[in-house]
Amino acid sequence: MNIAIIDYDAGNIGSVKYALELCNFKCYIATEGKELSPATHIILPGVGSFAQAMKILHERNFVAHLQHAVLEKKIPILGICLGMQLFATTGYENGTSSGLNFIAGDVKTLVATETKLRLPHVGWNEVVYSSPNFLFNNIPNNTDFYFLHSFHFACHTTKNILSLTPYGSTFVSSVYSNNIVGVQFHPEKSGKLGKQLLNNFVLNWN
Amino acid sequence: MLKVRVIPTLLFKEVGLVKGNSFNNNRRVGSVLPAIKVYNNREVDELLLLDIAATPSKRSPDFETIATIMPFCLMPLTIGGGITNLKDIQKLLHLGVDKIVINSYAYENPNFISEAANKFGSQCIIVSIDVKKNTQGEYECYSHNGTVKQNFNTIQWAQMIEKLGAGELLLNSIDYDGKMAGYDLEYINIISKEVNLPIIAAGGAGTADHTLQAIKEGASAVAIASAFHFTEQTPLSIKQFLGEHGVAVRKSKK
Repeated sequence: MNIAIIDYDAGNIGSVKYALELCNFKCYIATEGKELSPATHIILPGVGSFAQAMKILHERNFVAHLQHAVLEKKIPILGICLGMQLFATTGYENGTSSGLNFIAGDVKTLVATETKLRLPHVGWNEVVYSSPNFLFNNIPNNTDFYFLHSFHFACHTTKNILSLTPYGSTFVSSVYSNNIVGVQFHPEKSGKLGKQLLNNFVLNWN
Repeated sequence: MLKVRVIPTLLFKEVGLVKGNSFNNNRRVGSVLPAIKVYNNREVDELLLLDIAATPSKRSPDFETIATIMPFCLMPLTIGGGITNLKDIQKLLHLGVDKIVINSYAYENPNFISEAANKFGSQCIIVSIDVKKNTQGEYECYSHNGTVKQNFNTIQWAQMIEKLGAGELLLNSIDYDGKMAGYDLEYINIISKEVNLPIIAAGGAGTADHTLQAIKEGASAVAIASAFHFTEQTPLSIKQFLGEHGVAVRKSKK
């Protein structure tokens, strides 16, 4: 096992690394595309803005290497927060920009509908499963995870939706497609059950 | 449903933690690492660590200490104090910090808020407003750990911060700080009506009931320092009380 954590300057990669080390997993920080080749798993963490993140992924040659690793070699990848959003087709944060297009969808700002909701969506909120998945092994349905975001992933098809979270209406809080999974919340900041989720991601594909 | 957060707050000064009192006469309360470990073990909602010596002594955040505590932080962590450039923010996020607090430097260069929000996303930029009432009963903003008065209208400043792209407001009252007699409810009420950002109430919590009052006035989160250092209360006991009074809180350990 050798987990690559992608460093694109704006990510909170330190926390992801510490959380994986607490699980006793071997991991390394990849700062450019070609460093992904020894990876058995890839984590794309996230804090930052969509357009800026895509720009740096291109500059550091990550996009082509990610396409090769994820779409051809079928290496398991976990996207966290912005990392998950980058899997989408198009992002609408700071203008319109193309995403990695691993899962069909658009990343749009959360809109406070009916009731007056405060934005960004910050804090602990429940994750309600739409379909069973190994990612949630030993984690009860409706568990609170830590969220920190203003944008959300609008999937083009419901088959990619793994869970929903209520805020005003509901938004997609995790997505999947074959070897690709993404979570809007931060497992690396969500205590024991967050650690369990990282465990599920790494071990169930071994 | 989004839960109300109970946020233990640690004031950090040079080599240890201190207890504040109207931003003065800080009393040493121990070193930072054991406190971090305890809160991590208790699975608190979020932790706020403010380096109150950084701005007055014109230095950057204490990256070395922050790097030391990060491996023990499986919880959301916010850092404030001495942040004046994008590089410092990047360094903090890189270490694993989730959100940062800007205060003094925001008055000097308000555009710094939008530069930071554009680069790192609004969600990780918190702006803190420290206020004190003048003799006419008007709120006035103060920077540099309560020592420098700023000529900004408090409400207009809060609205401008929202417009510039910050993600949260940390509202602190210099008069109420460390007294454990309750938050400045009027201040929380006024600002929460004028902005749509989540509000963290800070300064003055002594009992669980104080936190309930702040939430009723519009706070999305309550920061507590002295009451955790000097009374028997814990984040869990506060949340139990809030839960019993109809506030949605996350279940966490003792």
